Amino acid sequence: MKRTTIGKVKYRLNVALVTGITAACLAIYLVPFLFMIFTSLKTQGQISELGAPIWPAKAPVFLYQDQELEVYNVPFPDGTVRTMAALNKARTYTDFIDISDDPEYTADNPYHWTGYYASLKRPWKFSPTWENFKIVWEKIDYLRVMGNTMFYAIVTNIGVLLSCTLVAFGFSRFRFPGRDFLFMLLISTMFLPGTVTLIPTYAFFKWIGWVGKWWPLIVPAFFANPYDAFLIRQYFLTLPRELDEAAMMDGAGPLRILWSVILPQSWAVIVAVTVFHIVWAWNDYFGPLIYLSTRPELQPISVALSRFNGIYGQKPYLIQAGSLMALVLPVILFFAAQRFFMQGVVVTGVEK
Amino acid sequence: MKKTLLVLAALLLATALLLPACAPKPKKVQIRWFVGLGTGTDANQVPVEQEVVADFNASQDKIELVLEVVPYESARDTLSTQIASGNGPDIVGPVGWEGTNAYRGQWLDLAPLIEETGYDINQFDPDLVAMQVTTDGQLGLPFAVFPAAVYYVPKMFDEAGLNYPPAKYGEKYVMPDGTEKPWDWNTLTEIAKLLTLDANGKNATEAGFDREAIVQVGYYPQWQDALHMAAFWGGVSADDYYDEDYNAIIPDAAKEAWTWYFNGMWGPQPFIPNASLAGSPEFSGGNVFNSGRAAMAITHFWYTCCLADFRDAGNEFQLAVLPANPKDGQVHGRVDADTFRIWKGTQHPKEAFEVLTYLVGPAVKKLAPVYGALPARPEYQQTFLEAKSAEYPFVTSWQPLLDGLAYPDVPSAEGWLPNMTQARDRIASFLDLISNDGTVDLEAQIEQLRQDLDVIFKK
Amino acid sequence: MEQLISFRFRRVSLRKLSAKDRREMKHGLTFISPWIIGFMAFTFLPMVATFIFTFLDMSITEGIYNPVRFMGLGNYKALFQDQTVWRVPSLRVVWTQEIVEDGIKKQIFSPQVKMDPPGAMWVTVVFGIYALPVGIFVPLALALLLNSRYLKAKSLFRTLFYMPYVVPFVAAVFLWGGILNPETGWANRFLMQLGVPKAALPQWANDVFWVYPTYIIMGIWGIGNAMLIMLAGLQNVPTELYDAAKVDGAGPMAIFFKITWPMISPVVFYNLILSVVGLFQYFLVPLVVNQGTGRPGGATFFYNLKLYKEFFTYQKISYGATMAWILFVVILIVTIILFGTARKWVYYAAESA
Repeated sequence: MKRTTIGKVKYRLNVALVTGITAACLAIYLVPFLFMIFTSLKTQGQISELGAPIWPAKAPVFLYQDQELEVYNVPFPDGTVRTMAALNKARTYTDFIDISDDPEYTADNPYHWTGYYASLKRPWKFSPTWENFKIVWEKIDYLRVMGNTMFYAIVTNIGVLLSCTLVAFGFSRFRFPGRDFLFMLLISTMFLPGTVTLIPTYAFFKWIGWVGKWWPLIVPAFFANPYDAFLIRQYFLTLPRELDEAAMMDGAGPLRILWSVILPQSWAVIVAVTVFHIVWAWNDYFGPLIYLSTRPELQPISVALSRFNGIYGQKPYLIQAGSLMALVLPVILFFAAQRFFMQGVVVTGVEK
Repeated sequence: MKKTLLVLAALLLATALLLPACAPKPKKVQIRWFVGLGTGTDANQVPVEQEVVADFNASQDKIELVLEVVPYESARDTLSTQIASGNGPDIVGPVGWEGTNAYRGQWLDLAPLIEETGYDINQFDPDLVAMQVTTDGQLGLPFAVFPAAVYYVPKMFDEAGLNYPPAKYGEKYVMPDGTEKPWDWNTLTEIAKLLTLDANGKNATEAGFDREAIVQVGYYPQWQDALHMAAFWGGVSADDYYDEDYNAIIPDAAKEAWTWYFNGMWGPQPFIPNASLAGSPEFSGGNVFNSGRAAMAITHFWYTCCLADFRDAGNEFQLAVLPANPKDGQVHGRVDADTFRIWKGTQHPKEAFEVLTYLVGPAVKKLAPVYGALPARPEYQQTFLEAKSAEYPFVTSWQPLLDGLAYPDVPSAEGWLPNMTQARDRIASFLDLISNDGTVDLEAQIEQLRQDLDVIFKK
Repeated sequence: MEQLISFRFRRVSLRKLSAKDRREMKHGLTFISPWIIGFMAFTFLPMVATFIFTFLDMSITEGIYNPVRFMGLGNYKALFQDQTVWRVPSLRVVWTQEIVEDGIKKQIFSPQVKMDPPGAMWVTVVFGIYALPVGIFVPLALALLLNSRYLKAKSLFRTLFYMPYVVPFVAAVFLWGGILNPETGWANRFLMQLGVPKAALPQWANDVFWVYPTYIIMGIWGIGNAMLIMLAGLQNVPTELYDAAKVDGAGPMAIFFKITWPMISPVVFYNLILSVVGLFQYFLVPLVVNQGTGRPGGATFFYNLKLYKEFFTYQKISYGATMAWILFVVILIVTIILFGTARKWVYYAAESA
């Protein structure tokens, strides 16, 4: 489309405005994420250190006669500020000595400063604790746990896509008595809180011997769940029937219609459900916990990470580090799936 | 159509039922050991537990011991689901009285098994054995004891020019000006106030103290709930809260303890962090002493499990003895006695008992250090203390903790209450409220608590 | 709703179904059979079981195989009379107070205005009034923004906006709790930098006024999914419609209301239903952030939180199951109403062909 100069300027302005607003919203939205990154790079000591900045920092120390003295930025009456080490700390005063090679103030002649040392600024050094990631990697056997998670996510995803598309197709494209009642029944299975159905479900799985194995988590995925079936059904209902009817005129059976007509138009929702589901499986916690509690080698990452949440003290820096590590794959997946969300790639109603 | 569907469904169900039958049946007796009601779920404790399990399995071939570790916040739900579905674990532990009483009536009386197998129960201190007896019988064997003491940070005392708290029971405390005071809660309060600092270095007693900018606190009741506080203050045990007719009583000592705690957070000279402050990441999310920002804390031996961050940051702690009640001059302590228990519905009580005796026997060597558990058996205590000293080399003496054994809470502060789970939940709500909100009328809240507990106890 | 009614009329003439209709029925049922089989095998029995529990007196420690006694409708009666669930907050005046003087109980005249803490159902509904619009319109606005042709680096933005949804709950709660900590959190420290006096700082999750905004802010990280679904819906709007509209000279408002909104209304409806279900099942956040106490002032005492407490904390299986089934009925009624109104504003291209 040819654009005039004014059109071009208007376009550029719009781009700047929209992108700017989005970036600003994103910045605020991701502030906790920054907190997450910072926390994952600290030790508890760094978090609790008095006066510590929000970024991972190490309080500098000065080694003096086998003692580690804390270093502060000490203000002098003439307005200058010198970096010095605290020799004797007390509540109302502190004796400082120079840390340079040619010290003016030494242990015999320290600089006596009145005040509370904690109110002074310190020359913090950026000091990220990369070990946190190593610790998480080793302590929960990261590769195996990640493998478990991927297995769980991918296998159940296949099941969900297969079953939910079929079911959604049935509910959206066919009329039969009892359809709306059955659909209502499908939706209503979402209503009962899992808390309550957990015990009979667990008892049932115990009775057929599936506790301690993957089966209770995987097999039901092949039989459609209300959330995804509902979504895909809604989506299918937005697709006009003309193409269906055209294909039917050509003598296509329902499966063929599904395959050649409906699915090619539905990539967006299929990708959405895939991403949707994989992320859900990635973070599914209580199900895997309760069925795999005796098999730590099969547990996915959500359960494994909770091991850093002991009763007498959590290790938030390890949980954050672990969560960051767990984020990576789904985010990459999402980014790669973007292709199907780019307008223009989706074919709408062509191939008549 | 419907017929086909039904046939399909039936086929599927049949396959599902047959699937497990295809798996080979285990020849060994499987015993499940459930960890999570108490300590034992930490990432550094689990490998040791796995070692213990592997050792046991290697030492005999009749029983297969399976470890089940569930994180604490999901442990109750998981255990409840298992028990309700008839699939409870065989052994649960380590578990203290609180966890035990939450599942009252679910534990196996070991007395018949002890007789049957001829297990020598005399190898334990008879007092400790008696501690594990309830109206339901002998519910466990002595595994470990967790006495309590004051943990404190000497550096903070040095900075403030204060003497350290006494390391021996009976010693008096000397104030900076030379006066001697008995080591009781009032004295602890005084020095705690001097040890609570704001960002400008003013302590809580000084004018201009900024309570919104507290950087260091004098005292924290680490991991104590309302009942524990009352026990440490005035020796209140669980059955002091109700009489024979199940009327709820709030003992005076409990009221005093809670008032003291409330004023410690919200009074004009605070020295205890309120819940928001204590729960912040800077204060280690509730693990306040671990953050290195509390001068003193009272808790048990098991707390040594969780001070790694404290130590790694370069801090040091020492131990002192518990303060006495200012009114009666007595020290009221608490001793936890976590152990392992067998679920009543176990299919294999004999095998479970064998595992139990292993856990409180040979396994103690490995388990005690990671649990921070002082072994009940004297012969293991020395190795345990050596392991602790290796972990925290700066501690000059563990004696204050060992001396704390002389001050157990008998009957336990974690003992049974009528309608226990509901009652404890109500008490926890009370503590949560007063820890978070300084504007509440404490008297009224205590009275409200009593009324609510009255209703709960009588249900 | 109309469809529900119309099929009932059709039922009379079932035998009069043409071969074509019968074939359609056969196909339809075959396609939904995976769900039917799964439902029968995995869902139906537990649902029935929990329904049976409501008529018994069960606790966790007895287990489901040893119910104590048959209670009939006792659980339901207790639930309907349970003031902690149904109470609508209202002010009342208490005229006298009981005090103990010299060991004797006396009534003195001391009027006080008391407000009872709201019931759990009320709390859930009120929170829904705040949270549902946010949960529907914020993802929609975001999806529109991220679908705009004026946006550069779309893929990157979409990924970054979705990313927090992947963060596990336990980590996210820590982060938001840390940031919104009234004493040391970034939010209040930032406000102090802006000059807000310490006494005026919001106490976030501790304050009756701020606790719902706090929960909603915490929930903002969870909009990734809804946003994704709306995006998928937006992608499906045929570009020809937009082109035709531009040719007709329609402005952006007209385009949105006449084209975009109707075409995406099915996914908006989906989000609405899911949000309503999620609202009634909301309990994990108040459990973790406010320790499940309902504090401050009972404002976080959600229905499903009470259910969880009754079921797991107090170990009363049957009372919990009763609460669950009443909840089921409530959600069902709301959903049926929503489905009924859907006819008015949800446009299904497939059904109007």
